[in-house]
Amino acid sequence: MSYIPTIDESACISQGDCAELAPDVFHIDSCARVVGTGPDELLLQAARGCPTEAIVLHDSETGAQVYP
Amino acid sequence: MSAAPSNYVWWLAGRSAGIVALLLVTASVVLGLSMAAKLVPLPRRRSAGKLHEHLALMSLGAITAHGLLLAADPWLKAGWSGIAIPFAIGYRPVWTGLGVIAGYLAAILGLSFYARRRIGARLWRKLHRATAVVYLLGLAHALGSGTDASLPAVRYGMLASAVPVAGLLALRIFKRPRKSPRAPDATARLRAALELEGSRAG
Repeated sequence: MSYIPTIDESACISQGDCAELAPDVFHIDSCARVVGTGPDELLLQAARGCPTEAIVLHDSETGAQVYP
Repeated sequence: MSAAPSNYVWWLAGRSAGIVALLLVTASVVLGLSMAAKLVPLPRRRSAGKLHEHLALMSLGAITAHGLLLAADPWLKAGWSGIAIPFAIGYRPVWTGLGVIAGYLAAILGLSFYARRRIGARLWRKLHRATAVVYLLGLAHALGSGTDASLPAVRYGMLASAVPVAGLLALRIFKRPRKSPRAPDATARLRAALELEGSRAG
């Protein structure tokens, strides 16, 4: 299984924890942006750490939303 | 009227609520600025954010109680217009007016968090940065019209609360993180890959 992260821009408050945790995956500008990918555990950790649940994870094979 | 405390219950309760409100606003602002300055360890930031939110909500409750108790005070005779309209009250109108404005700003700026999907995250961030003004107006109100500010311990305690706020604000302003370099947005490419995957499977 591998996760694909996307950002719910209406929820993102640019706190930047995701970019600090996974700088190869997330960049912060006026809003968080996905610029790469990473291990599922790291993506899940970043998603769980987001204070506004702005990181949405989908299963790359089925497309099903796995978080939140 | 005698000086028995029971004759001044509304006044005493209103003053207490005001001090509690200032303490809660200060705590919320200090925590918020600490998070913005990345002083809170990463594993603790989500719970810190929740605490920041709860402190802000509690401070709104204390501000509301402060206003309502003073509006009901038979000695102050502020009435609803006195606490709802800035500078309308006869008691130290300028300093009290600043407090009324601070109360409205606290409600608008604080509660805008729950409307950010409607107003857009960018506008919300701009509004949220102005929250420090609420603290400054509240402090000015407390020092200028607060009965307890005449006590040196309370006055200097209030002024001392400005030190961490000012320090963290300076840190936030002068240590603003550089914006990330423009990188291709991987989200669109990933979405396209998912759609292609889906069409192949179908």
